[in-house]
Amino acid sequence: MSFYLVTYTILFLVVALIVFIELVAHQVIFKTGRMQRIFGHPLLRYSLRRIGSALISVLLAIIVTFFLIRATVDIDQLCLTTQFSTAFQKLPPAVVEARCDIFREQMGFNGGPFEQLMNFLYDIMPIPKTLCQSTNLLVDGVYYNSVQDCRFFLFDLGQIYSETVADLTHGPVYVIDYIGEKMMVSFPVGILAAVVQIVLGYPLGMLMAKRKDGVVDKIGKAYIISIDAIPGVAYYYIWMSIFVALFALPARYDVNNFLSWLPPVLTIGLTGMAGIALWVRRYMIDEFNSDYVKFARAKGLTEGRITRIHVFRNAIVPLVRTIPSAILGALLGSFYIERIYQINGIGDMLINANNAHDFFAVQGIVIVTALISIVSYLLGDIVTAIADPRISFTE
Amino acid sequence: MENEKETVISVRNLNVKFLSHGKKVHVIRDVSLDVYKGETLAIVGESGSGKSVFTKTFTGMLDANGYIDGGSVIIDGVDVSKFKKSKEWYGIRGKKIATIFQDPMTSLNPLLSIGYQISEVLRIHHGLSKKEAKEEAIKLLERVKIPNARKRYDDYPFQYSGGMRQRVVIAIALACRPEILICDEPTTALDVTVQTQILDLIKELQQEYNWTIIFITHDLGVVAKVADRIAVMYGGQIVEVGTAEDVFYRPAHPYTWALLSSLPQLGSKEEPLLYIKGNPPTFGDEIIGDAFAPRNEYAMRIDYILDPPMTKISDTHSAKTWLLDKNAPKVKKPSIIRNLRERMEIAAKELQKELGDYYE
Amino acid sequence: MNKEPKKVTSPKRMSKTELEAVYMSEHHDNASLMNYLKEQHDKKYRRKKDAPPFVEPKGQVKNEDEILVKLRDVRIAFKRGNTERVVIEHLNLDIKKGEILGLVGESGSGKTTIGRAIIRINPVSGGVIAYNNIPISGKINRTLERAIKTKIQMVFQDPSASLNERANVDYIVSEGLRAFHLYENEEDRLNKVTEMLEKVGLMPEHLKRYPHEFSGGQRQRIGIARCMIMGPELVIADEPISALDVSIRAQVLNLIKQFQQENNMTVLFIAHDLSVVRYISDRIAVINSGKIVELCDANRLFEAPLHPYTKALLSAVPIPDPRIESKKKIVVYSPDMHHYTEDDMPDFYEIEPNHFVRANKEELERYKKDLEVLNKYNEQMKEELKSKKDTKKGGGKK
Repeated sequence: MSFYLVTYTILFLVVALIVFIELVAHQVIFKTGRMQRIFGHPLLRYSLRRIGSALISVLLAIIVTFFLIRATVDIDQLCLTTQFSTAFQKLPPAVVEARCDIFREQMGFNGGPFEQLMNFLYDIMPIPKTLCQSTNLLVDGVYYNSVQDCRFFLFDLGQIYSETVADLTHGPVYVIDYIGEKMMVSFPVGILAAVVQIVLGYPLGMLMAKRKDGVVDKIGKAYIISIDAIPGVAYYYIWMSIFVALFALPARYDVNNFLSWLPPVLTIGLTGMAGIALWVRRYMIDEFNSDYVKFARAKGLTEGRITRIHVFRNAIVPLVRTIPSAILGALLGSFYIERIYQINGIGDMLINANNAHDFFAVQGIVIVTALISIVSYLLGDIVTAIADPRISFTE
Repeated sequence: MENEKETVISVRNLNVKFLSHGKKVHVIRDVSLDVYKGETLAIVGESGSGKSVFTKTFTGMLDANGYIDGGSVIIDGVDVSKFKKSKEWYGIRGKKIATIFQDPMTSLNPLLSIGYQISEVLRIHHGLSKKEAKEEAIKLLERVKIPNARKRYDDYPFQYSGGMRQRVVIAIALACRPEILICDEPTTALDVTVQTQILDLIKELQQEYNWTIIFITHDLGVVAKVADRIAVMYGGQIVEVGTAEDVFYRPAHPYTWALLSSLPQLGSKEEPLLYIKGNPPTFGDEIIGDAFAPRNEYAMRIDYILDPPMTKISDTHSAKTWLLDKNAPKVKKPSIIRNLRERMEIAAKELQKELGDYYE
Repeated sequence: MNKEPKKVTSPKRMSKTELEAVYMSEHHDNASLMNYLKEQHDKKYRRKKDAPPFVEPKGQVKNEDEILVKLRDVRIAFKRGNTERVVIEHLNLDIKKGEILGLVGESGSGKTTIGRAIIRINPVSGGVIAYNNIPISGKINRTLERAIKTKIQMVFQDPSASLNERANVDYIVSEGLRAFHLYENEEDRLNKVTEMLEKVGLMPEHLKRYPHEFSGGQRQRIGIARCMIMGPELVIADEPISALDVSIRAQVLNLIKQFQQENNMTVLFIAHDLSVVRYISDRIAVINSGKIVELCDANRLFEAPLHPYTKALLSAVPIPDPRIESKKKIVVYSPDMHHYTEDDMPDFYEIEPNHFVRANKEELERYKKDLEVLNKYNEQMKEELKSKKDTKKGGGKK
């Protein structure tokens, strides 16, 4: 009961805040003064609106995914393969039909498409609810759902039903929990890789721009071109062989052994760094040639200051947009890298789920990916708006 | 008189070359010039005449592919043409010489507030604290007549109009507290009415701070308004130099004649405007003899063979043309130049109705 | 290959002659134009009770046959989200056939917007722009739009930005010819382009060169060639010399004037500097923040400027003479100078034949007095000049 109370209160507060901000922004209440300055700030309203429209895009993406998956999945076939052991698939049709009805209901395939969609949306909407799922019990080659497992949900993405995706022996596994679990595996590697990219990429680009056509620039250019020219997958294997064969680092990822972290982190970091350095260099060279840098020089500023305050700042404005997506993208990991170094992260899960036709798992990953990319796009816009005073938050 | 003037910049036989696609291009060809303290020297020329490049050598701001190839630029007894490192320039750039550029739209950093860009200079050059710098910057903004200076301190350049931005640029130049101000076509991108205001402001500040101003422009109207002395540049050389009166009322070089007679202000409806035929030499053209010869109605055979010497006409006035040679035939200046003053007066009277009383 | 030509339907494929036929079939006169405006007016106030009566907007030229372009009650506004910025409102202007009309004002006055509205780059949100009494603003049919495109051409301010950097001169100049099938065969096209290049003072060997190889003045001449090769009836020259060196300006001005005289073209010459416009234009309209404040024959405007804004513009023109320049007094204009009140709103009055000025009644009286004083002053000056010339002639050489 208290769950409901808390979540409903929070939802109510969020709605109230949005209404309040809109009222202040339209100068209905608090026409002047500090409240106006804080809550009427255009950035706040801009962000709200963007979040609103982002949520709508997420919803649309979810609906599209929903129908796509319905269109590709043959539910009867799925019922046969997952609900009956191979030997018992030729049971009397009535038994099969009865069992499959239950399965269909579990999977949300009952009723017309509109009803299905509504049920599905109710499940994934952030409305507090208690859902009961049943666990399969294997009796005489037929899985029976007997154990009721009720749980409180805010979002429900369904249950995993394929054993190749998750271990189902200890009770039902919910997609939302499982994705969270897998993210925690992908995230440390991904975030470290993002940091390596940024920490190496930006200074390299800066150095290359500052001494254009110098030694660093030439080496850097050669590196960037070679990364660009060779396909990504091939490059990953080249890195792997360098790390493993040359530096004798472990080829298999193991959470507890830090040395084994290095190959995946460096593989992503060193590859991604090239792209960042390329853009930083390009933007910085543009800025170096701009009139205001000449004017700053005429003002008598030192070269170091010009580079730091005037050139670098301006050059990264178009690039800060990518930082949120780099950080949030780390949650999802990289499919190739996870395959190569055998990291059991999201990428690994997606491949397994796809092979096992576990469509709740696939659907869950697609929705989470869409959410993350839309949120990171939104954050990118907000960060750019903060960095660049020329962008106005009003229409 | 002449000896009393204090020279602040002394250029002798300066040559500047550019490396372009592996070729050496001679851009400034053997130029000598003195800049005196407190004067306004206008450098006049078409685009491509090298006037901007010439003044860039005073502050070491030549483009990366340009270099000084012989000659000297002496500022305060130091030959700056021998400077190699950018560090050496720090004592001159922004301290002794400030520069204002042509396009106010692009000379300010779009991402930094106006206030920051002014106070930055004050903090770095004069060691003011952040607070002091802010107060001083607001004073400077008020000095260049920006209304509501305190309120606009935190504004960004995109919130300013072109004229206002040029005022901010001037305020930044003021913040440098320089002795010499180089104005590189500061009003070309502005409306005529705004241009007048900016020129008046520069003149006013010059009197207050006793600046020496080097004014680069292609517009003789602007020159007449601001200049004490004029140097006319063509094809990387100074072809005529003298006081404003010398150049406007007693021009000696055919190029100056042509420039003066092609002003649209002087045109009357009945006859087509006069103009200089042909095109100015572009960088990369090899110049033999007088650079202006191919476009010069008065060109003689020698003009195509030998570079004319700088000939002194009076103490203040000299020109680089064979016409002043003692063996040269006497030429009549074009009629428009002969009655230039008269034409000007007519033009002035037409433009300035209220000013009828100002003329004797 | 040489079968009967297919019937062309799409306006995109029609040649200039075919388009001309379409254009000629559009018949309009002033009355139908006014009807068009009245319909617009009625539509606007359809659901409103106290609709103002429709007043026919009037231009400045009385003789109907002389007018090529009419702007009537034109309103141009730029929308940005929910806010609308009105640049031009209630603008009435006539452009006569075969004249050069100078349109002078500061940046932000809306002068460029007007030029771009005529050539349909900026949409008009009210009123009408008519070409030979045919409405060419708002929604018009595509064939007519194309027909109009062959008749109106534009010369842009910045010659380096308005030329395609990746195309050579041949392509740039002949692009319009290709679009409207104005040539018979390749040889004919080449001849036309070469001829045009020679006319603007470029060489045939420049054909294969690219814009960056030219100086600013030459680039502007390419821009003019591109425009003139279409044989336009109306040319909109949007500050064609502002970005050029003073010494080159004269060449370009002469060139435009020469073309205008040879082909009896009409030119709308937009500029911010009065001294330039004076030489080239027959009439001058001075515009300030979206309103035409004074309109007059070019010479007369210099003889008798009335509106304080015109005076301010005139006084700002730098005179290339140090002595005069040092004595010069600058007239400063500020909109606060006018005392416009509710019941004494400004209007556009014809203060003397063909001389219009924006004023309210109080100002109108004052301007009339000013005009008398100026007339006297001008006469005096003319006499002075005459006597000076006489003495000079009598005295011989100085």
